[in-house]
Amino acid sequence: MQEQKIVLEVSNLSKKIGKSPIIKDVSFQLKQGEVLGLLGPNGSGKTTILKMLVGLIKPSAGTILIKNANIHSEFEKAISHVGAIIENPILYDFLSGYDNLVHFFRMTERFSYVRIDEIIELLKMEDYVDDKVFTYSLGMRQRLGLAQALLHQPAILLLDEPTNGLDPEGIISLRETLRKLAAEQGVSIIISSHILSEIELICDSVMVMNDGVCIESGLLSDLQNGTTTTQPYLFTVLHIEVAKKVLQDHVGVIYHSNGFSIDLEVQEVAALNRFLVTSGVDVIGIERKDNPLEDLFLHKTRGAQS
Amino acid sequence: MKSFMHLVSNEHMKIFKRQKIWVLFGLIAVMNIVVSLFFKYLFTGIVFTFWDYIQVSSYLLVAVQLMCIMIAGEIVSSEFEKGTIKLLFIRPVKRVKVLASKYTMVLYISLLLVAFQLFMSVILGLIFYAGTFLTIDQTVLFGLGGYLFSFIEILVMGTIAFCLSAVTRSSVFSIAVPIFLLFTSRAVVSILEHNHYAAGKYLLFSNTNLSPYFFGQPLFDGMTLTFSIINILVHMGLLGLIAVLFFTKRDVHV
Repeated sequence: MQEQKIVLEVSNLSKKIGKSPIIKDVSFQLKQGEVLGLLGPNGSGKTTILKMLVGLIKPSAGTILIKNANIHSEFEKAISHVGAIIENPILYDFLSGYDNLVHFFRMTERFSYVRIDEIIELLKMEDYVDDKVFTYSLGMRQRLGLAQALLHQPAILLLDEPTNGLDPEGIISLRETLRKLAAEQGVSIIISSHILSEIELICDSVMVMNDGVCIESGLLSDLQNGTTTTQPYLFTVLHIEVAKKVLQDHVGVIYHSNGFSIDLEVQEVAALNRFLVTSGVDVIGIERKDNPLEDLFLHKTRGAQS
Repeated sequence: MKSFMHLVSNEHMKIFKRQKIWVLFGLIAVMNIVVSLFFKYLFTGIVFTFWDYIQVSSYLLVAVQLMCIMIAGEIVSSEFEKGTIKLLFIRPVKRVKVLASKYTMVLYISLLLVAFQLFMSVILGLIFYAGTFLTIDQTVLFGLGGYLFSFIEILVMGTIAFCLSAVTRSSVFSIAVPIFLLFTSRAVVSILEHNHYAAGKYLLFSNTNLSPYFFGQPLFDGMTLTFSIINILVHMGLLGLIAVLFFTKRDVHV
């Protein structure tokens, strides 16, 4: 199997503002067609990293290579491979969506009106592209921002919180668009988010940030399998008093008003259920409480704090 | 070069697709009509010629100067205030080129507004004083000279506002300071002149008005036209350099 080309290589990236370090020694790689999720709570340095990737902020130390071009010494060459939405898509409100696209595209070498029409069709913006941007809803702005980022057919797409303010339908269509780009055109994508469940469905790999440090990174599938075999389960029962009596001897049970939760392996869940039923507890539901990524994330960020 | 023209057309689009510029053109037109009616119907005792009227109308360029300060003081900083600077900085274009395209636009708009002011006064002059259009004497020079020298002063103030805009990234500051300078610089220079303070001749604002070299006496001893032109160019060069340094080096956190 052919090895995938590396399109972005970040090594030992650090940023200090004054004396306080914002980003500490972050390194990672991005392969062609890979979708990387950048996770972390607010203020963990996700946006700062993205800003350094597009040259808006100069790193204090470390290098960023985009298709082997250094973002600082060969800025124009490196940045021409990148399309980005940094923070909310910021646009010229007083121009129409179409003029915004023209404005943005004119700054590249490949300007053509044909391509603009193509992207408008691709993202289905025909209905409102000629309206002034200040009349747009957040979802329309997000889409126009994405259109701008895609105009020059970049090899790398950087999206900062792209699902912010999108309705569920918008999120699904964004997800589909991104998946298609990565699979069909080999576009590599970095998505930052603090909403873990959304990233989980789009990404191949994730990088968890906290306080400017990368605390976990790897393939999403590895991380999910790598978490401890026990997972929290929520049992819902009809009569909590009966359950309490039966479970007296069990440790690690947390009672709620209509049930209890407990950390178990899959086999143990079945065993416990059988035990409860034979002991006369009416079990009306069993569910896994949260997704493994969320768990991993909380575990890691809490660990870093203590 | 093609890419630079694209940048300039972007700036052009951002100015002309907004209402503000058309309001300014409208203001200039209204201002000229009011002033011309004033002169025609209120100062009936004095005989005006076409070229006298052109010279008088050149004083309206102070308003044009304010307009140019407004545009130049905002053209860079508004991008920072709205965050749109990010759109400009993540494209394969050097920052210095972006700045140059914006300065080009400032020069172009200044020229356009001054030209429109001249156009309006010529039209109104022809309406009210058409008979004296061909009376060619000294007043022709006074009239056209007034426009030329004011245009130079407008460019100087525009450059100051532009530089402040790039350095401070604040529109309010970059518009307020040049306006303040506009109204105080003359007083400061005349105080210096009154006290025969010789070093005053190195001050930028002692040099921006070139008309004394043609229609009067220089403010300080030892001042020549060449001296003033070099003084202006050195100041403009320094302001440009400062603007470029600040614009290209600083991180963008907006």
